[in-house]
Amino acid sequence: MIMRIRKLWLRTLMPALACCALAAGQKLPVPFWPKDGRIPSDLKDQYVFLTQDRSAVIVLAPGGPGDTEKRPVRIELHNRIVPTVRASVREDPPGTYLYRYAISNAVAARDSIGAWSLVLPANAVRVKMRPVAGEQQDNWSGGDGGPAIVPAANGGTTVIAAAEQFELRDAPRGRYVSWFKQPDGRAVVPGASRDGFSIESRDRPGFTTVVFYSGHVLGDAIDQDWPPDILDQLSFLNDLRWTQVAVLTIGPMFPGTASLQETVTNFRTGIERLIEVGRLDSQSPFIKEVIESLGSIAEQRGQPTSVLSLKGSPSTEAETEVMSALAATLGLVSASKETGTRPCAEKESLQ
Amino acid sequence: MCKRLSLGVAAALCAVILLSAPVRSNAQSYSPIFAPQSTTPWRAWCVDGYGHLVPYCYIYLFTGAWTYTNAHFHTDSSQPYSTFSFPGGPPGTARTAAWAQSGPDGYLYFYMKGSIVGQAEFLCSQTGYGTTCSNFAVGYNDVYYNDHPEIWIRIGGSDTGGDTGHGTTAYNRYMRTYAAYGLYYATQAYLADHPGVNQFCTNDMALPFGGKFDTGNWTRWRSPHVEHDRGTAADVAGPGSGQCPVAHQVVASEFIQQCIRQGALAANSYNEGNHAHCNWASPSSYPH
Repeated sequence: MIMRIRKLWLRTLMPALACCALAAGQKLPVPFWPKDGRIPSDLKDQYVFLTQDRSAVIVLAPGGPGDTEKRPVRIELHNRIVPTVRASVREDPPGTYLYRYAISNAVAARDSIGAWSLVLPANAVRVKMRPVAGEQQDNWSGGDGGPAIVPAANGGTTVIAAAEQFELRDAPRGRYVSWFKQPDGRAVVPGASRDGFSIESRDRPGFTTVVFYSGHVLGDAIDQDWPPDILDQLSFLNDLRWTQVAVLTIGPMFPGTASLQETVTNFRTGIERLIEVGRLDSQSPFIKEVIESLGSIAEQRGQPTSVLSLKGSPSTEAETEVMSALAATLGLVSASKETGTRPCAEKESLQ
Repeated sequence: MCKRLSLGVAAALCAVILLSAPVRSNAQSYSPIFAPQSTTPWRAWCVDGYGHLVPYCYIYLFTGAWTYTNAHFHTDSSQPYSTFSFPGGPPGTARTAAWAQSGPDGYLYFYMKGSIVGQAEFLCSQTGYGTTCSNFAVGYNDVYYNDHPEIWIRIGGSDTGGDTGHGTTAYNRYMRTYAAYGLYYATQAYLADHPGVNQFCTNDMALPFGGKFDTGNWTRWRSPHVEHDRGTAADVAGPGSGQCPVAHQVVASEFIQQCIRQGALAANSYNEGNHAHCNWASPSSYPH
């Protein structure tokens, strides 16, 4: 018997520096630490500062209980990681998608990746994490606690959604599945990579956020007995973007019940984000055509009734990536498919 | 002519008590309940036999705490309790006993400041005709019992050799709802990550009505267990815990990250030597 499966390879190469994610246009929650170490008189009540590269905070803290003299304490944020995630999706058997991920940390990074998380829709239930492949010395493992479903006052249920879609503007919060380096495992140091992460889902691919972090516990460096003024000024660090790096990738996002509008919005927002970060060119004829096609699909107000063929074909890696996800979820076909150039979505035959 | 005296918490909660047939309220009560360190307006007054308020009536006020309440199975002379102060009085003057005089309208106005300890307390007033007391509690009424024996092994308290004066560890299992859910789902995620583990050890959440969770003989009624006052924190045993079997100890740093994935605060969750400490609120947001 010949089983036809669809194999989709998506490549997500989105390096980013944590410092940049919160840099542009964002008001600093605390001032920079003065280069000469002298605190201006107008900052006499300020106890927490950022280093210029935003990789650490400097806290003016008392040395001990009753100590009135405050001394600078440096807290590293371990956020100088430059991650890349490569995602692939394979539909096998039909209706089930196997998502595989490989992560890398660029040579330019200064911190290691010790954990990472993928954001799923809050109520995603059709997910199965596979054991992390790899050598024992690379011991990583992943955990999915399932959606946090709690009883609601009206007798129904509520899903707790704690995971922000940092890279998808206005997208609803989701939940995390996470992978951790185990105590006897190896972190992904600058210049290294690690693969073997995979999950199965019946949900179709769409854009989602993945976050990388060092695995260091920030709270370990904070003395919880510091005065409330100091703890209050440190509270901005509860925004996880200070200690982790978020990038856009592909993940299981759409159950069968997902609306076309929801799907199209996800792709539009994701493409906009990729244009913002410079991975896609808004003037590219192919991208223009994709955006136009998404508009056409949205106007159908239902599932596409026929396969939409694009005239153009992806010419960059990022465009190929987008095309692959569009093909899997919305059934779009690019010219490359028809002309026989290297396809981003291909069909294979297996015995 | 007999006089009657009553005490009230604002106007709505006052109850008139006949002092000609003196009644002393001896029963501790957790209602009304005031948050630790909160300030609430009270008033006291005297009425005569005709029910008329008595202007310029002398009243002696004093506060106190019931012993062995809210799982504080220890007591000593340093047990703190609520204080009161008078409007217009010297700033910062907190009293536990004082004579005062009602005003021309017949009322004595004062403010009560709750202690730091969750416990049952009382406020009494005295005139030449007798004494009457009002019972109340300091603490929080939004913490709930939180235990899931199928996934959590209870350690701590007098159960596993770490008696801290709060009795069995069943008394330190109280949390606010959102934090309890966060801990539960962090647990589920961690267990999924470690297929060989089906339970781990939890300890110190908060006392039944929250408030100061003092531990150790040298820290009665005070910190350092500051983060456990509000029912937003929990401890999970890691390597080095003498009370939890090794097979049930968590990788503390990983469990903390799972807590953070479930809403715990990154700046206030940390590895506390032999256990993971997860907190869903900053200690600076509640008195401790």
